[in-house]
Amino acid sequence: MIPSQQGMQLINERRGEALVVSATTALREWGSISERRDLDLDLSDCMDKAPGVGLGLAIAQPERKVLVLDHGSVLRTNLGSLVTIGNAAPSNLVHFVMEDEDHPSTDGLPIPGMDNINFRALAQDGGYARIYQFDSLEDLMFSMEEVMEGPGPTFVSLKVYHDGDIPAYPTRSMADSLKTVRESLDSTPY
Amino acid sequence: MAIENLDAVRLLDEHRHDAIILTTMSANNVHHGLPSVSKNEHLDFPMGGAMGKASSLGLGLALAQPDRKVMVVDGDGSLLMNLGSLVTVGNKAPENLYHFVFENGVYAITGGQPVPGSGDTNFAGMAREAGYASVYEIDNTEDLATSLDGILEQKGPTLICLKIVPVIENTPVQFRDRPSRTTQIAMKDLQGALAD
Amino acid sequence: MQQEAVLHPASIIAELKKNKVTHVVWLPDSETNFMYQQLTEDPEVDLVPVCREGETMAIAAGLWVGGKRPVCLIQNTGIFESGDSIRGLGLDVNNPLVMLVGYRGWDRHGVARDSAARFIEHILHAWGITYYLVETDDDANRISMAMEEADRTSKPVAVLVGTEFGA
Repeated sequence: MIPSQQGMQLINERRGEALVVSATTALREWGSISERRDLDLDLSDCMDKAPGVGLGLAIAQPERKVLVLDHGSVLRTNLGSLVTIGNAAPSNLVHFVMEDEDHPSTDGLPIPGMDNINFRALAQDGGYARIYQFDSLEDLMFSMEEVMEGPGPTFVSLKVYHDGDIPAYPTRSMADSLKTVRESLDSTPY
Repeated sequence: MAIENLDAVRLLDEHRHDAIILTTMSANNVHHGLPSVSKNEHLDFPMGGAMGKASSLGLGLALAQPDRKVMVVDGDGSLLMNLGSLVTVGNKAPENLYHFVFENGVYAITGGQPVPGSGDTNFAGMAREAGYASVYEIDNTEDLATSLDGILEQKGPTLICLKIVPVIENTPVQFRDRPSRTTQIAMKDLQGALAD
Repeated sequence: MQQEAVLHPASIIAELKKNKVTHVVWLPDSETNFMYQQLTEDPEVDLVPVCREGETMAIAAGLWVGGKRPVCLIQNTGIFESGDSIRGLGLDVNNPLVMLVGYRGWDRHGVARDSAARFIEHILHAWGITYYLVETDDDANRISMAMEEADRTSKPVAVLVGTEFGA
């Protein structure tokens, strides 16, 4: 199992200029680790929609990598997004999904059927170009370059446990994060 | 290879015994769906509206009627709207639920636009990973006719993905032929049949 | 049975282009099917198909943040399904999103029997989302009005496509 915050740290080191959309527990951890908050979209609401927002960004910014930091608990309620992304097939999208067994997103309450879902297989059947799963930090570190550089859409399942307290949600609002990224990208299309 | 829509619903009706059949979209069409051929109308649940929710409704029926088989006849576009229901069904694992998917690759009742991932999405694979007991893919009438009894004898939940020839409809909704029985009447009939 | 076409796809597509719309994020419905062929063939506007209507607002939000000009195209039944996404990724984040909505069940001349038609305007009122009705080619410029209003107010605006169309 990957200590989640160390996993996030690794993604932070390798993100470069990538845009990052994160939600739920992944957002809480990412918010305190990311050093490029000007390129982060915080989905502190509508949390199962991170794949959709990431897809829109990836289509709008084809020259830039887009990372989605998703969580199994919310992907479960938006499984169709795997087919939508597989169909749109943005080559610059990397979809990370944190899978934990301590269920902090529901205060430890087990989620029905959660441990039986094979997200990797669903992404594969939905049409993603490349699929990975990691359960050790070392393997993730070793493969990170390949994960980031290869043509997507790429699906990465990370088996994690939570190393230490999970930070609180960022204080900035979701709307502020969208505004900030728009300004960073100088998004004035029309 | 693919199965004609009408042949598929006729075969399902012929092999159902006393199963409830819940149909939606193409399988529920008044011209070429189950309502046009059913010989067991009192056990049919023709579901109009609430696109995507047939699998969820079927799960409820299967849980309520554990001694009776429930056949859900879904569409591919419909199932895409409610893919999570595969996990919901896999998790509750009702042994009496048989989930058919009419995979015709299009939104047939809105004019035939392709569904996302048309032809590339592996519904049977997804159902297997979500915890269905068995999954099947059938692309011709003969195989469907010969395998249905065996499939329905096994314990579910089972997903049976059928490759279907699309029958495209593009009449504005208000000008389409109405079913002879409304959903409300069909539900009442079904409740009556189950209470007998 | 079909009535004479009074709203042509070209009129709507011309409006989208006039407003520099780059992407149509959509789930097909009968009411707007007449635009499908022309939209798929048009090199200037990209279609992004989805599996469920609530996805459209999320993808549109990403496109908007990334510098594009999307609209959503769904049916009124999809508006009911998308409630939380309209709230969270439309209203709450000041997304100037124009939602083209197929008005299933609309009939100017009779009584609307379809509950999809009876509820839609009430739902939009409840959210404080203004809407414009487009029935004929003469109404098509209301799409521009909706675009202008969405930009000016930084809020989602709906365009109800209520027509008994032809090819």
